[in-house]
Amino acid sequence: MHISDGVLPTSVALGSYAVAGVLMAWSIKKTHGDDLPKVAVVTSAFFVASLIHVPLGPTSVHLLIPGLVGILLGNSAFVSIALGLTLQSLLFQFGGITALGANSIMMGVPALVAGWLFQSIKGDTLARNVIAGAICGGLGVVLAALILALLLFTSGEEFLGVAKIALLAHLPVVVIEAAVSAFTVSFLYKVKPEMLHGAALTPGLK
Amino acid sequence: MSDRRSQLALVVLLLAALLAIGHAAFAAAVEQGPEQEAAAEVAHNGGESAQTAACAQAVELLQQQKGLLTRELAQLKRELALLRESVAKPGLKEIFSGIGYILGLAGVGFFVHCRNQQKKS
Repeated sequence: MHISDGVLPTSVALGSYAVAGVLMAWSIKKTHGDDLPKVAVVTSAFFVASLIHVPLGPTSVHLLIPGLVGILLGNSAFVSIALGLTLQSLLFQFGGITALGANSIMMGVPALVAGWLFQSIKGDTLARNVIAGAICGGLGVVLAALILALLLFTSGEEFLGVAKIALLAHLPVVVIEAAVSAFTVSFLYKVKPEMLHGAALTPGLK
Repeated sequence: MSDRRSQLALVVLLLAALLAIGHAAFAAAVEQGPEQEAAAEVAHNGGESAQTAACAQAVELLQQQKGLLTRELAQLKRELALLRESVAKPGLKEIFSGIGYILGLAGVGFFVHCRNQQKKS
């Protein structure tokens, strides 16, 4: 799910670049230096995850994992996703350079929302953490599809039609990402629970 | 001067060779003459139907060839599309260069972070 060059009108492309720039600056400011290795590892995972294709009838869709990035990185998620998308568009030719701002918003905002939601609903037990992970992982893809429809709406497409198609096409991805996020969260909860506290909230590292 | 003379000699020699070949061909044609005439007579006797039959045969052959070529061309096009797809697909090189970029940028960030901390302390 990425927007190619020349799909969006120039004003929307420029506007989304501006919004993405502001979010990026805010996200960098919120990123603590001690969390950089974690950010780098999650960014690498996000960068590579788009190569995992899920066959779906005649076509195939690939993993997106904005929800998982948000869960693991919290406020730093936007930096991670913007960097990952930049490298994807440069090296894999996924999405266009001019649509990079729009693509960053499409993936980054769901990541931020998923991160905040996860922090507020995760609770203290393993079961609640896993359920929260599954919900946030699936929600990331749903939100990304909705933002995609909203962005394409500005280029003259019908909002409901695009949203329906995007959501239907990514329904398997929603399910798979919910499972992947739940598995990752349950593993981290047992092995390294402090990773689930969100980057900005990591206590006692100084 | 001697150059021009040798060129002239070469031209004369070539002309002579051509004349000789022409003569030999003429002799051969004269020899084959009666047979060819007979064949032409048969064709004439067969009338135009034989000619159209031969024409139809030729057309059929051409169409057969065209079908074969079309099939081969389609196969080539399919292979070209596959090749293009495999070239466009990101390989190991792209993946590792991307991860390298990410880790390198994280290193730069770490460096800046450490310098800030050192300045503070």
